Amino acid sequence: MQPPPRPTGVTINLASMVDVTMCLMIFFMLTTHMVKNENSTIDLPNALSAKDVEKKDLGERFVVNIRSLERADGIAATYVVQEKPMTLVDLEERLRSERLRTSDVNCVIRADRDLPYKYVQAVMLVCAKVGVQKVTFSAVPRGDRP
Amino acid sequence: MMSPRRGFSPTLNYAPNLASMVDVTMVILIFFMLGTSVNISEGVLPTELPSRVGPGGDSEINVVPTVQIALMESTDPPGCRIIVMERELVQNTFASLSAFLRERIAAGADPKGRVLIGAEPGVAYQNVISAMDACVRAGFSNIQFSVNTNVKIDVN
Repeated sequence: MQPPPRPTGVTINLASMVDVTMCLMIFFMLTTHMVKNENSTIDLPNALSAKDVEKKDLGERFVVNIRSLERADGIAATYVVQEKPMTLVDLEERLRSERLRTSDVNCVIRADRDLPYKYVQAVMLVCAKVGVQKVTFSAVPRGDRP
Repeated sequence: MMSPRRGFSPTLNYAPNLASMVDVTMVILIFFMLGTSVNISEGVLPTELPSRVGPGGDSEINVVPTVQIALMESTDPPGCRIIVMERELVQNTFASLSAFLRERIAAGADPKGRVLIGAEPGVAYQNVISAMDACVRAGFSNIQFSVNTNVKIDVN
């Protein structure tokens, strides 16, 4: 008569789960990096009518971030494109070269909500100068905060 | 004399334990998933500069808007004063601006007509966006901005 088989430990094979999880993790790491490169941390204004659109529907996006900077004599601004601070002259050159590359440039302005309007107006003037007609304002789609 | 051990092959004991690796990977995965979803939750308000302005830019053009809105700096009340067609709103809020514009459309104004928003240089950007938001919510679709070319800019 044969002896009864010994009880064996039941284990789940986690190798395939690790594969899938690693793929997802790498995807999110890369995506987050791209978003961060384009978008600085900015306290965007609120607008209930702001539409959540697909990036491809905006054409060739050129994102200009405008950060407010508190100074003793008031609020100044820093223009940032792809995490690089630049002057209005640099911005004009960059925008002009984008405009030469493609005619469908859409200038997306992301500015701090407390920033004086003149800094945003300056970017719109630069757009007009180089012939970029499409200007889009980024906003958070919700009502006014107190 | 000892008999040889029977049962499963001893090679099974060398499989690495992946449970702790899965734990760490899942935590990192959840972190990136949440981080990404925070970054992409923003909407847009599109506008177009008048085609006669560029290229060459900052030239003066004459336009006849359906509605003209001016935002003036104000300390009392704090924020800005809203002036529509050269008349100040009774209630200085963007909700009343939206209601006023809705009345204009009900009275026969063309919702595709040009709405021109102008703001003083010191007005907070949020107020300009709120004015644009009020126009869109009222039903106007062609919103444009007038700009002052003689403003000094401090850039850091």
